[in-house]
Amino acid sequence: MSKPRSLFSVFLVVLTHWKRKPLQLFLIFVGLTTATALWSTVKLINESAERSFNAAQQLLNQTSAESIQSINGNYFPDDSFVELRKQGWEVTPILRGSPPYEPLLTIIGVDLISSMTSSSSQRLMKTVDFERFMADSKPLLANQRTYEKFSQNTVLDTFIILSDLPDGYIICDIGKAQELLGLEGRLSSMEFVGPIPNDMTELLALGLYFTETNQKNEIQNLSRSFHLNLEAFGFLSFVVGLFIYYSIITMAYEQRKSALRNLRVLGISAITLSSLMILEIALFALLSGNLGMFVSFIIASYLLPDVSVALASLFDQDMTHIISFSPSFWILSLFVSLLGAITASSTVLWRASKLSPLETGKKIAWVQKANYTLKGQAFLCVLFSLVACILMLYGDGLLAAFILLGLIILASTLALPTVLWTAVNFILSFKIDNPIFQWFIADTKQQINGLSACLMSLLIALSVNIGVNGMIESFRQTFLGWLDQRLVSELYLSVKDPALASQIELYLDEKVESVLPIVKVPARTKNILIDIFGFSPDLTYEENWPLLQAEDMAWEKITRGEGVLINEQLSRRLQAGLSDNISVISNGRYLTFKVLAIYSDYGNSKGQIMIPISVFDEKFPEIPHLQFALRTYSSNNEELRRDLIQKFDINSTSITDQQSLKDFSTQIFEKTFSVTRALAVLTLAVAGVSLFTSVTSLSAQRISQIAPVWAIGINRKALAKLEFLRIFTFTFITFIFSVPIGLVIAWILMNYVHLEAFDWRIPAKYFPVQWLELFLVNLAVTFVSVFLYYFSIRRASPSDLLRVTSYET
Amino acid sequence: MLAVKNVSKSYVIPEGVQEVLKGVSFDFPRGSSFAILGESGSGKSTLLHVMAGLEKPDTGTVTLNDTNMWILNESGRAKLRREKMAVVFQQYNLINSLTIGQNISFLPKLAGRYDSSFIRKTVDALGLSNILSKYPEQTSGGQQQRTALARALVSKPSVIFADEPTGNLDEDNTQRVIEVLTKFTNNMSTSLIVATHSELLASKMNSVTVLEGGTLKLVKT
Repeated sequence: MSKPRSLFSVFLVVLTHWKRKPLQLFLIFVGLTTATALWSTVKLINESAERSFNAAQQLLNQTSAESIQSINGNYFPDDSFVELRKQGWEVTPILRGSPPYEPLLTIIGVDLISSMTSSSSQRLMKTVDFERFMADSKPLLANQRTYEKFSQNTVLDTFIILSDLPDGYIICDIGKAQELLGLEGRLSSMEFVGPIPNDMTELLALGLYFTETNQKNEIQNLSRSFHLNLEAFGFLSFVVGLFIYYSIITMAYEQRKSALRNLRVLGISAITLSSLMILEIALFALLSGNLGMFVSFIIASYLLPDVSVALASLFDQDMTHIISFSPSFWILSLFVSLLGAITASSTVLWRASKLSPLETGKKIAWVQKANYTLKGQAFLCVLFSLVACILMLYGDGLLAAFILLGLIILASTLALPTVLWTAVNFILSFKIDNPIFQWFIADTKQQINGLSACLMSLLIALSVNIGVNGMIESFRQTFLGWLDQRLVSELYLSVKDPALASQIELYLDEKVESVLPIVKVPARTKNILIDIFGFSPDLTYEENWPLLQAEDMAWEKITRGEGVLINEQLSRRLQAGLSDNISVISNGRYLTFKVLAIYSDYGNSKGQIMIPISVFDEKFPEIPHLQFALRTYSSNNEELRRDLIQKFDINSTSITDQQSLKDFSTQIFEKTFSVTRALAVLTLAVAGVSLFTSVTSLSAQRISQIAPVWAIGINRKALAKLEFLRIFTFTFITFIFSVPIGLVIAWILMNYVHLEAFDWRIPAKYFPVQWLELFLVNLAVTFVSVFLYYFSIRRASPSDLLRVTSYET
Repeated sequence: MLAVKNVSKSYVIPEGVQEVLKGVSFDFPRGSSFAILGESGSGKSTLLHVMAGLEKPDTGTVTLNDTNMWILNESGRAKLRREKMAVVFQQYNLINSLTIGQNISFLPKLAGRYDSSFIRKTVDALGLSNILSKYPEQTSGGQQQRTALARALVSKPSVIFADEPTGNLDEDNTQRVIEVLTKFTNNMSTSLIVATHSELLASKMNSVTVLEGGTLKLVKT
């Protein structure tokens, strides 16, 4: 027999174990498929989100951070551009808008000649030839989907397909944009392509204003946080899936050790055996990896619509709902599946490589084996805890916050078996007269090692659920409460014509209880871009504004113009507290304000200063009052709304009622966390599968372990009940243990991850009802997992129970 | 008294149905000792299991002190087993999660006949006192076999079924076990039924039977 053929024969012998244990083989595939599927799902979602992000970046690249806009936010004549260029201002015109016939389409008109030196134009020229862009036909740049959707409305136009552009956007020459939008001779903004002058008075004379945004960085930060969040979940689910695989492959090894030893006796080297086992594992990983990829496409397609809503609010544009397939991603997923399988099998492979043909030396009792394992786990637990402490004290940044979260989860997970072991030893330290109770506790102790992998994965799932749901619910309640405080006015009005705005303000004075103007200008402080808001100090603010800190008599002082309010984000970024002074610059004006109060400002990443409207008007007299909060103290404002629309001929979208605003904000909030919530539930489901697989695969082994007790005189029904009680006790203790860990996870999410990502701290809240719900879910998972096991013991035949027990299990 | 009447038992094997016991009938008076001899696979262990209420016979009855154990439900048989009997299995059937000491005291506690001084005496007699805190896996086959025997004896049952109780013991320990078994069962008026290949052990029993062709025959009293 040739060597390859003999090796193949040996390989077939190695594989025969799975023929005898088809359930174990099935569970191996469940574990690896689940791990790959969840990891790939998150990767697919992230890749899709990444494409949207890049598309958003592509658009943002067409606009610079520093721009000039009309004071009232309206379109302005392009003569202003000519005027400023004559005076040496290095600016380029932009027109951005939607045609009346197609509100979902955004057209951006740019002038390549005046922006030739800008990096955005140079980037554009890398993908489109300048002469082609400037040709008489004035082509429109769009991606394939936008072209297919909108080309029928512009049949006479030439399109150039640019796959990098996001859906619903067209870039073209500014003249063409003016024609398509029906805005001949108008601009929406001008952007700097050269140095920014210090003196802005010329701008003010033209009714224009200098603004700065930091949108790119803000999007980058939020996007990074979003992706890290998903990545963390993907990794956790991957680990939970591998736990399933680990528990089965370890048990299978113990059961096939005699067969492997026989092969060693027959002259097969340990290295050959290990290599054949690696080949076996590779086969499992590749088959499961392919299956996992298929499953991941289904899950990702289901989750993506919610992700797109969340990201739409983040990027201010639609996200493509298409999961794209790439062979390289497929190969990567298979590699990850293989790597995970090899890592989870490393202990087994190590033991196989050291397997002696003869059983030599003294056998190690289960209690000694468990002690070794527990010592190792305790060591890692302490190590991870120490690193976590160091990170907590000295760590900085979003990544450090996520690593801290991972370390805490790992450390607490590793601590679980030791906690269970210590608890059981504590009970055993008492004198127990009841022999069944004594056996129950001692046997429970023996099971800790075997069940620890699935209990650890259950712990991860439960604590992550408690933590994530706690964070989301804390945030939700805080956010909704905050919305109630912030959106206290019954109606919000916004117009673009300053003259009309003055007329409406005058008219409303008699119609409503209070008219509260809201105005803002962009500003900069210590290189941070912020907004300065003007507001009317009114009882409405005094009674409802969500203040985190305030000086005594703060509202009176603010009304007298002695100081300002700032939001939490700005306070943290500047490390500015009460009574501190903040210096800002806005349109060439240097201003200093004293902080009298700090307010919470969720859902916004930008720093804000709120100053009384009298001070605002004095400092920025050119800014018209165009937005108003209206206090009517009535729930029915439809009549007033109709009256305003008819009397002043304003668009119905200019008036928004409080509820619509709240509903909109709440919807965005819910969608933002729907993926996180779905992944938390998926992780729990996987942990349930893990518990089921471990308990089911343990049943054969357990029957031989409980047989002596049955033979002595405890009937099968009583034993089955005790087994159920044991696993329930394990999952119950795991649940109890998961509550404090979940709270720690929530605390880290709120105090580190969110603080790093958004610069606001969410007040922690506790949700015992949620825990109770999770406990019931845990109970249901346990019940389902133990159901088959319970009946397998109750129906175990005496011949099964009388089968010889071997200690090699 | 233990009485076996017309007990038959067969198994389904790939080759067909294998009849192991064919209408076995026998009386085992209280306080007497019996050896059941027979070739490997002759059905000695099956007969012990049927008599101990562990395996149901296809036909026939097994009565212990006038109680037909096979008309009892599983709980009833379990109760009878823990209160009236003790079984020493060929592979010892010790409880892995309990120490040797806990294994020995498990059955007497369960049967409500825990007697610490008797346990100590038995443990000393079987040479187990220095391994009481060890787990079964940490002991040798012989030590485990003696532990199984100690567990049976200390529960002071009406009848002990022992399947090859000296199978894994060296000569010295075989002598010791035989001595302890016979002495203790005589003192407690316990019936002792052993399935064995050992001529030495069989010679120490009051009666010797042979299981052959599925039936039990008395060869020596």
